[in-house]
Amino acid sequence: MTKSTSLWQLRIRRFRKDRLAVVSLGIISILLISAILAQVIAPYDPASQRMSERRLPPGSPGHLLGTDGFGRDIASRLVYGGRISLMVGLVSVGVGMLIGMTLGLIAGYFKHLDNLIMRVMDILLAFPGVLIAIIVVAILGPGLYNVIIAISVFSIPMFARLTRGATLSAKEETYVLAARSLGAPTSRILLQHILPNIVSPIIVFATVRIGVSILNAAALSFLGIGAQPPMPEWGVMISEGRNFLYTSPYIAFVPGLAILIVVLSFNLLGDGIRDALDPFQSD
Amino acid sequence: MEVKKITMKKVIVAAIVLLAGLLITLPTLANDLSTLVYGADSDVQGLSPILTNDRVSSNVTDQIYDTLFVRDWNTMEIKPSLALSYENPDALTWIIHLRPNVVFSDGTPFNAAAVKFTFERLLDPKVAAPRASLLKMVDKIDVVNDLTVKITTKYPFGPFPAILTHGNSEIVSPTAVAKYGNLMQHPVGTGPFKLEEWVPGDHITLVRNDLYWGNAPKLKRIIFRIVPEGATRVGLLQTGEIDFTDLIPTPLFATLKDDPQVTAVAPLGTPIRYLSFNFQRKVFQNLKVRQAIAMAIDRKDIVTALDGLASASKSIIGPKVFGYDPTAEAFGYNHDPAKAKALLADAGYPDGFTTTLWYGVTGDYPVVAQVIQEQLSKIGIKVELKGLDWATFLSATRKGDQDMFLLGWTNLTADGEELLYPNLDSDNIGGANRAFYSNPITDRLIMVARKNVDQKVRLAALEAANAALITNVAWVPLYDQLNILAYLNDVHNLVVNPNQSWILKDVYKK
Repeated sequence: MTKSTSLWQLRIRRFRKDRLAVVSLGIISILLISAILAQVIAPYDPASQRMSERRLPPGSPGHLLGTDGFGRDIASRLVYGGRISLMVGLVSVGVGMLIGMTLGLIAGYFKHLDNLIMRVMDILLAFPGVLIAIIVVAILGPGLYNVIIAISVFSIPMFARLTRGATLSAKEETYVLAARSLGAPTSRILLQHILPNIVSPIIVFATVRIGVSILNAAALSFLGIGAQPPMPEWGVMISEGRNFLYTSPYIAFVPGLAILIVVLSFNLLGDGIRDALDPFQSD
Repeated sequence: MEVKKITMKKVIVAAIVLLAGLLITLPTLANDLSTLVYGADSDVQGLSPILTNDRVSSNVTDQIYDTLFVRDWNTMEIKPSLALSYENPDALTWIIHLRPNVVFSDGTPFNAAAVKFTFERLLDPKVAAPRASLLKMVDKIDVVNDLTVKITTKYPFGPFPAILTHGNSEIVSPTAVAKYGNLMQHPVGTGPFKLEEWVPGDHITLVRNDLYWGNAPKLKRIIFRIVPEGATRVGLLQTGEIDFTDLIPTPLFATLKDDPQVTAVAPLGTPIRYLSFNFQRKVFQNLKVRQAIAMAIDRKDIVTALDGLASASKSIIGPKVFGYDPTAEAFGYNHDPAKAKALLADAGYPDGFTTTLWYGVTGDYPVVAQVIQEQLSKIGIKVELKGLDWATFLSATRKGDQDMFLLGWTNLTADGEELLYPNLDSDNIGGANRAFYSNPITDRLIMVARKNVDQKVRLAALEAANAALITNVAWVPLYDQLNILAYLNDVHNLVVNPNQSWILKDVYKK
């Protein structure tokens, strides 16, 4: 008889077979470590200007990725910018997920609240995400923290809809009926029986959503309504590099490439997790 | 078989549509020698000189309408245009003799009644003209005869002829106003060109006015093509799709300089860029704090950050403006961070303080703001940047929400009075005086420059006011703007004036 394998071991084994997802996880881990250790890794203060060293090309001595229009080290700004992007992605998705999941659970389980909650969510979904973000920023004023709030707000309806759908089918399952007939309180049914069984699609969605949030935050900062200079946010860096596209294209290209790689990594990681968690996936 | 026939038809229709498209676009190409295409950074507000007050609109209206006088930028003298001469028999009276045989592009004769009509309309509170203040000293306007106007002012007003060179005093056709209500969509003036079509958000086409009183313009058409992004305009210029453009991002100027097809120039202009304070804040009422900030600024770094395309200045009134005196620079403060720190400690802030710097996110301002933030951090002042969109910035600073702010002023009349009075006189607190600056001494000097008709006295008063304002650090002047302009080599006679305006009637392509 072979040694039995737990479900999680099976899932991890399946995940490890997906090379793209593993590479993505590696990239995200590097981003995470460099974000935590930014002070140690970055050779320069990301905001300090040296007018005698403006627009040095990548590979210049002391400046691996060159310098921008103010003589600031691009590599240092990239590392600190990674910290900001990761923070925006994690916090905004975390908040959006928490609120959205709660609303979704309530809507899915309590029939009389379903219509009210989901129609409000439908209204939010009817607006393009960036438009909602611009409205929120117009009310609260520009700045990174308001962008986080804005992105959280437009993540809420998506999480709510996903959770509600899963809850609707889970609540008809026999284990829920069993718990209910044994007299379990509603809170226990929701948190201990339904939630653990519907969490997989939410995790997958959240992973992909982090990438989208980073992209949206960069877009809002590029438009000047997100992170404010001299913050080394990647969208701000692209916006400032725009005028140098003809003469020093790397100033905008480097942060652009960073956004591309990070967002792609989160998407591929999300795909990998989905395949690993899918019970119908052949081993 | 049936299916094939339809496909053939579709191909023919598509070919016809494509061909028609090509034919429509062909005449708008820049290589047509009688058409000049300008790359504009935004659409106009409208085409009435009375109801608009922004650079983009006046770029167009200046080609459609004429002022009574014009400034000769070489000699700085006031020259005739729609008016031939003026006399002022006493300090309150200006008699203006008009040019005969001039008609508006709709055939209406230009005469004293048209001048009276235009100025009274500009002053009419019901019209609510944004620059009604331009003529606020006017008491009454009388038609003496068909070609003579007598204007009486409420008090002696020295820069009066200079004001009549200002774009907002361009003369409009009274019959056109009666017909259309206003001229925002239907401009009718006496100028070298008239409106052919305006497609909002896309382009404006002007066509030669055959009734123009002066030498006939060499160009047949001018197209103002709206292309908001600076880098895109540069690309269009290099591929020959537009003939000229301005407001070019400074890093791209060098690219254009290197292009053998393009002429790129950057003459010194009247616009001044400055840093100032909200004098309602206690910390900035302390002269030592203001001096410390002035000494913390290194203008050399600012000019470098702008790719050398700025002229560092310590004088509020710039070299291209009446009232400038080269010795004024000596009243300014030189870069001296050590002394700045000492002054700050003396003022009671040995560890500096935290404050905000407000600016509009447009043009050079975001770059300059970041350089200043860095320079002030070196003397311990921690600056939080507040970059706002232009309209929000203007209204917020008018209310006094800012601590420090970054702004500029383009002197259209090139008379220092038109810089000091709106921006630094206590009359205009709550208006253009965003510093909330009030100083009885300089108020008095500015009043002398305003209410005197002797130009020598006015010059002396402006020079004295300028020196006092610099010493007192009402503003920290940073630099005078260079008016960057780039055009294809086959464009001739195109000149950018120090006040950023340009004249297109003598331009030709060869």
